[in-house]
Amino acid sequence: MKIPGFLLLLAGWGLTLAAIVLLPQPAARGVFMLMGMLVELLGVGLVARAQFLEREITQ
Amino acid sequence: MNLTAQPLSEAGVALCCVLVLLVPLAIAGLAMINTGLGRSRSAAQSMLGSICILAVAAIAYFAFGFAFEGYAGLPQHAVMIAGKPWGWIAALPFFFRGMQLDGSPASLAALLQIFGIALAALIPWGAGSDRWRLRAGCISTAIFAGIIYPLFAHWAWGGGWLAQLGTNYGLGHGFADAAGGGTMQAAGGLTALAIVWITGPRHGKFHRNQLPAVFPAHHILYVLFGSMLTLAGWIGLNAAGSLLFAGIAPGRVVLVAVNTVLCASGSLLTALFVTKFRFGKPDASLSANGWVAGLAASSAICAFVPPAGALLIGLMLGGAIPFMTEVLELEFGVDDPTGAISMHAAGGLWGLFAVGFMGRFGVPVGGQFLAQIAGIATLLGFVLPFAYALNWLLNKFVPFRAGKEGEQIGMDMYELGAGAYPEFVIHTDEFLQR
Repeated sequence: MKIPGFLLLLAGWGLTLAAIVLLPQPAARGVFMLMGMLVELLGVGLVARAQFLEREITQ
Repeated sequence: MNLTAQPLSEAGVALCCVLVLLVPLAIAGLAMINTGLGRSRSAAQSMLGSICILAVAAIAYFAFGFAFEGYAGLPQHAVMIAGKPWGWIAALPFFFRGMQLDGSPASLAALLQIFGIALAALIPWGAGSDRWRLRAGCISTAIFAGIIYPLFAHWAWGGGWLAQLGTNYGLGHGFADAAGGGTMQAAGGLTALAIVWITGPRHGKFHRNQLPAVFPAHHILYVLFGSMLTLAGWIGLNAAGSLLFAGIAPGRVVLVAVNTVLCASGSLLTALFVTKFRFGKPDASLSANGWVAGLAASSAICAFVPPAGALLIGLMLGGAIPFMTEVLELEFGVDDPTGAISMHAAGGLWGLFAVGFMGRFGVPVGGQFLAQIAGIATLLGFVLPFAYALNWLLNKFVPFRAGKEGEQIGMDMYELGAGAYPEFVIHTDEFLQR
């Protein structure tokens, strides 16, 4: 779960960068950039959860 | 508003020098906070580590950090994407070669960041306290000061792609970070999160199906006095940073200082009120966390918002800090003895976000807001995984964590062979009954 979490972080960043370059319309650009941020937050949550579960197993 | 530093008059250079020379007070304050919030058996290692981190950060930044970071207007490597240049790293010689240390904006920026990087590198050191080994901490600091920080700082301050979002894509004035809310505070805080994930929690902190154990701050006076010291240093940091990276006129230093104090004050008071409301009495360490979080947020906003805005930003942040600290510990199992992640990462990111909708730039709010989102997304999507990957790799060669014995006898005895308080019996397991 940790690696997919980090991949989500990178994917969210990629989405944000892609929106800046590919979408000149402000509304579409804004929506895609915010979606990119949401994907990143999902990634942080997933990594944090993976760390938590890993710790529970080793206890 | 032009976010590029203008050439300074002689008086401006003198003012900037004085402000920069205040910044070591912030380092001393943060070192005291870290040490006070840790355990008594690790106090000397924590304080020695703070000095070592300052030394390593300064040398790493001098050796190659500044060469990678650069300054606006100096040479950089850029890639062309859809016909637009994306500056990604500076192209300067190592060891400050060719740079005139004569009071030019670039030389003042280099001086400021020697201290600023040390301040940022202390953030992960605090989060890993009571278990992170000194040698590993120093090498990790060299990586942070030599690679992670300069890369992001180049993008934000060195004329890199984040700074150029306004020119290239019409996003306001480009990513705006007056004095290091993102480059120092959020980058340091997110690196702290990576360190905490890698080192894991202290022994005895978490037990299955039980609430986490509380390791109280060993010296709350260190924490509170350190909090006061940080204010003086932070005013210097924010004012000098705003002169050099946000292009404010020297007279606007007054606004920066007022905003710094108001943001920290609002944050402290709401943290104090929230802890009083929740626990019946105000919590000193969480209130101090609120104060430092307010300072961290002020680094992003200090040059761009009116005083009432700074106060509001601080009030909102301080209310969230106690809850954030609790959620990180209870829900995500993060053992962060100093609260560094909520103070610096959350404080810095909140400040950057607030600049997007409260900043006064004289341009439409939407574009500036998106530029700020791009910066925050870069911190979360690039700096955090990058810091984790480099430190994870380093941990394979230089183990970060002290053995269980180290935590039991304390990092002082384990790493230094002597305690911080040799005259006193300071924990019961040291007391031998006769």
